[in-house]
Amino acid sequence: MNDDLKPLFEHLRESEHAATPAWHARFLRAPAPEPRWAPRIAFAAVLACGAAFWLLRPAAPSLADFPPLLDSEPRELFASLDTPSTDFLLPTHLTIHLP
Amino acid sequence: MDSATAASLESLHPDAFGWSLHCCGGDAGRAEDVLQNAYLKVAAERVRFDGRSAFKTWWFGVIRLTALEEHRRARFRESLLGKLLASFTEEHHPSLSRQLERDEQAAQLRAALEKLPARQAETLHLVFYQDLTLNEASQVMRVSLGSVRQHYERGKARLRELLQTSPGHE
Repeated sequence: MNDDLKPLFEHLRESEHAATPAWHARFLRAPAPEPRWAPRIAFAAVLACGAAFWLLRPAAPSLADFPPLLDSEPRELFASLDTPSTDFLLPTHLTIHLP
Repeated sequence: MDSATAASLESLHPDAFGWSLHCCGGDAGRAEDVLQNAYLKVAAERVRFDGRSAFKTWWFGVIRLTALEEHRRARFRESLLGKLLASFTEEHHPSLSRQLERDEQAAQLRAALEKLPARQAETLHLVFYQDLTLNEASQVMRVSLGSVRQHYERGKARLRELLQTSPGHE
């Protein structure tokens, strides 16, 4: 027999029914669909920003704008090979005499 | 949504809230959210009554699933920030939960139900509170009739023990 439990649940039911939030017809109103143009506008805005950054980006400096750092004086190619080498750093007793 | 469904939902609203409250462990705020989300599912036609069971059975199944989804989401939100916010809102929304606790006898039964295993408590709620048959309860809970019968018998015995040992029992 459930005579002891049933009234307890009945009491709980009444107590909770009294605290139930009121019924509103809006409960059954479907939420408005999200506007479909919103993602398109967002995409266009991102695209426009990208284009603006591309167009307004600072121009890359050309090589001609850099100052010459390693330019040497113009002279004849391999000219240094024609000048005789010297052995002035060798000690005198080590001077080699070729026959 | 057709007007017959709307009328059925309206007439079941108090019982649906009671079931939602049970599924949310007596938390009235969460129960309202769960019920609202379940209504939204129906309104947006994400769930549809197909007539294979009683309307109440189907609707309570929807509420139960919605409560489970909400419970899973809530577990992810249980961060420190979430707890702080919860305590803040608790202070400013004195609650239906507290209002409900004023009724001592109801509070005792609710406390005893909370101590039962979830399936046993669900079965007892559906049978005694919602007046469903064991077969209908098994459809709501998506378990076999035999299993529900077992939860029902064990639940009743355990609930009686708990109510006898509870401090307010005379």
